[in-house]
Amino acid sequence: MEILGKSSGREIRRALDFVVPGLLLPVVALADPASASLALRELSFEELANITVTTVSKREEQYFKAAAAVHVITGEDIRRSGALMLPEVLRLSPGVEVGQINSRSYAVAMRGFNGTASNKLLPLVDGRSLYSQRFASTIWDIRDLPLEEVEQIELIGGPGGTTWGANAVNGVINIITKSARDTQGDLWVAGAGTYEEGFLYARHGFAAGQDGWARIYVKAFQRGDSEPVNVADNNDAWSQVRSGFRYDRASRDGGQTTVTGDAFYSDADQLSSGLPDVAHSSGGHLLARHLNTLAGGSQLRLQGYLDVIRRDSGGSLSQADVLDLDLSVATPSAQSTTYAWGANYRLSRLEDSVNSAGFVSDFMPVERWFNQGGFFVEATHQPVGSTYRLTAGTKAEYNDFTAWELMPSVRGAWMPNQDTTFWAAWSRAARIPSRFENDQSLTISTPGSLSRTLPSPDLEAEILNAFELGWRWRGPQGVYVDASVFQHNYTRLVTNHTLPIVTPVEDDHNLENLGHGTSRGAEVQVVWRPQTWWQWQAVYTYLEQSFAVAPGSTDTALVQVATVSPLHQFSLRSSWNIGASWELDAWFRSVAKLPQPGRLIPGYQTLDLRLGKQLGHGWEISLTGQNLLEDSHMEFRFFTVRAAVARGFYLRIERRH
Amino acid sequence: MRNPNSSMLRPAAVRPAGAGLARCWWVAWTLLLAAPLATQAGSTVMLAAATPAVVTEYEVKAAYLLRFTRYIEWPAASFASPVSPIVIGVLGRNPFGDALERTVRGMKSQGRDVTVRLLGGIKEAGGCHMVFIGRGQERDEAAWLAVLRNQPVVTITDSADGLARGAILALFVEELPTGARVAFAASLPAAQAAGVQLSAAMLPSARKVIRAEPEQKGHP
Repeated sequence: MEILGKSSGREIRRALDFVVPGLLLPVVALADPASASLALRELSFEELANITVTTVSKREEQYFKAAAAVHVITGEDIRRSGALMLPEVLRLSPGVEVGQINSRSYAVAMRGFNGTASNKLLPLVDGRSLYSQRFASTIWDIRDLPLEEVEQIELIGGPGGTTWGANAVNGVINIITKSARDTQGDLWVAGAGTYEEGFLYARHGFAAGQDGWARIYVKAFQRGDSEPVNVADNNDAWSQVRSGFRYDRASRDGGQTTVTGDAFYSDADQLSSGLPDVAHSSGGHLLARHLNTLAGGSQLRLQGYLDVIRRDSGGSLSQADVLDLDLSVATPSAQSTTYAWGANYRLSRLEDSVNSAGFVSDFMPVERWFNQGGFFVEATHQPVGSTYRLTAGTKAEYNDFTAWELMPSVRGAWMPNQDTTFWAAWSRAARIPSRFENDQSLTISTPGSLSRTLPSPDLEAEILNAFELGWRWRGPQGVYVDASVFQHNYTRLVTNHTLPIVTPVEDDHNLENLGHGTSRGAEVQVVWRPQTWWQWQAVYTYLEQSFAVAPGSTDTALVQVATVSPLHQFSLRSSWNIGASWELDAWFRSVAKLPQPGRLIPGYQTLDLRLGKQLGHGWEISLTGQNLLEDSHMEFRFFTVRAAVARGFYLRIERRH
Repeated sequence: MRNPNSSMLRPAAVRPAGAGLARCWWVAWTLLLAAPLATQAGSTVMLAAATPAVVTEYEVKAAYLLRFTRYIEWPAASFASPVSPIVIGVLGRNPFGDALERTVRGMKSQGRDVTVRLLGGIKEAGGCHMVFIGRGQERDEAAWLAVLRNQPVVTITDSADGLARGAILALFVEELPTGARVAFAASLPAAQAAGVQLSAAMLPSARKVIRAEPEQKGHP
């Protein structure tokens, strides 16, 4: 959580931008800060030097006392990691599984159910969902963003449905970009390497009117082919250009306005039915948010965004347009019982036409207008001066596929002293069906056989009941320990259903909710800073899963879900500042095997090294080596795609002025 | 395309069980939501045993900044008029929240008001009498300090390392067995280069004072 040279110091105002009601908000009411400041200003230097202080910022305090498995990756952590792609950065946190499938695709999940269709993880950027209602997953390659602009990433393990609604089942990834106020001036980045073949990023930050700041950026990169395993050439190199902006205004009356936008275009080489092909993607977003304090001290948050994606891949065209509106109000945090409530509405337009050799996919309707929206209410009780906090709330959300879903949670935290937090939580989450599950008729024909997957409009939401316990402790010498355990009980998991045989060569099936299962796990993070210039971080993740289907179900795929997540993951990272201008970072990772029958991915150990040097006058140069311990290794497999990640090096030059 | 058999596919036993479970959740949740409200009556007892107030690092640092304004002499030309305020700029990230604003509000120093200005960049630092640079910006800090070196601006960094980069004052946290405290250090050569005078009365309180230019290596 802590990083070199920046252990604290965040604007409390900014903390309110993305505050998770219930998880984080109530802790704002820690002490009476006004009286402290007033009393201090009459003290002499000697008296000031004798006051014992806490060096933890209010925002860090919120994370420390949160009754949820929250882990934070800061912008500085990202810079020191040497990772250039968003999914790779997520490996810094416990509880996350990241498997690179090929050059472009990643399987990313929290607490299991990994795959390209990792449908129980909800990622957001500045409150904008990256989750695809089209096929219930996140397409990470088209959601790239300049990592230089990331303020921090919050990873919240377990259900987040009370706040974020449907599909926040196993975890939420909250990516928060820097305020335009913090990115004033110019930044240029250029780099080249063996696998990360070339990348450019340029940013210009400037004052924009009274109390306003803005930045504009452009980012472009080209990434090479992954290592082939079963074919001569994976043909999966890709490139992307993205440009965007952010505007922030803090008006004198305390109101804050943020507007963000971007547009991108991407070309990706791929194999379509074994033949070289190029997939094209494009899209963008526009988001506006306003925060203000209402009469009476309540905090109002209003947000709206538009998100547009176009994709043309191997003859399949898809369009996804999303309009999302969100309103929430939190009562003043100074009171012992606070309330938060809100409403949201999302309209998606999903249009697909899929047609390629060997399989035909029909969508009914071809153009789907999908409504989703609801309400949440949450109450938090923390008497002034008490050592405990209780939060209970629920979201009730409607969607066109399964109608109303209820996502309640109850959380409690006990803080026996300044340096210890114990917490416990029960929560319920729902994963609603995707358009692929609800609307699609997929026909795969080979000579002599025909396989059809029919639409399943009667699918219900998959349900999770989660029980979690956690402990955080901070000790001397920058020691920080965060440990949590959980049990997830799943019901109504989607399973395959074989339909009665029509003709001997045709095999028809659809989907039903006959699966259930349990997962248990532990997530541990230890940070130790023996010196101000040296920090260690160790992360361990344990996950065991078991699934079964109800009697009568013909499904054989669900039980295999347990075999595509590693039982153990461990990583150790050292960040070392050598003198005033050198930085040396080492990051070791060990991931256990994925024991899928017939498709085993062996466990692997690997190491990244980064050497950085500040050259003065805003120049920085760094050399990064990735996956150094072996020539290549496989991380994840998707159907016939078998690609490996090879050792790679790149050089990066940065100029700030 | 609808599957004509779909209504037959769902075993009848599943739905009632699920519905029953849903009712249980509702009851449990309602009870738990009510629990904090029920404990409200008992909470007044807890109020008496309030934990001691926590003072944050930046509340103390804000108090230091205010105190510094009383021990520094700026050239008269750096003020537009005898009643112009002393302006404290916070360069880059603002680690104070509103603690610095609250600390200086309504306070006078050397007969002048004290005001706070949040600076988006070094270009906005003109007109400030003191500039504070928060932690986590070390890469920019050296460049900013170089720009301000010969201006009548008291630069204050958020770690002891800042003096080596050319700052005039540094506020830093000392980790002691009894807890963390905030102390300061001063550089007289840097103050001299800027043309500001640090009062001799504040120097005994400094944890460290640099009094002479470090010897230039490679120059006889």
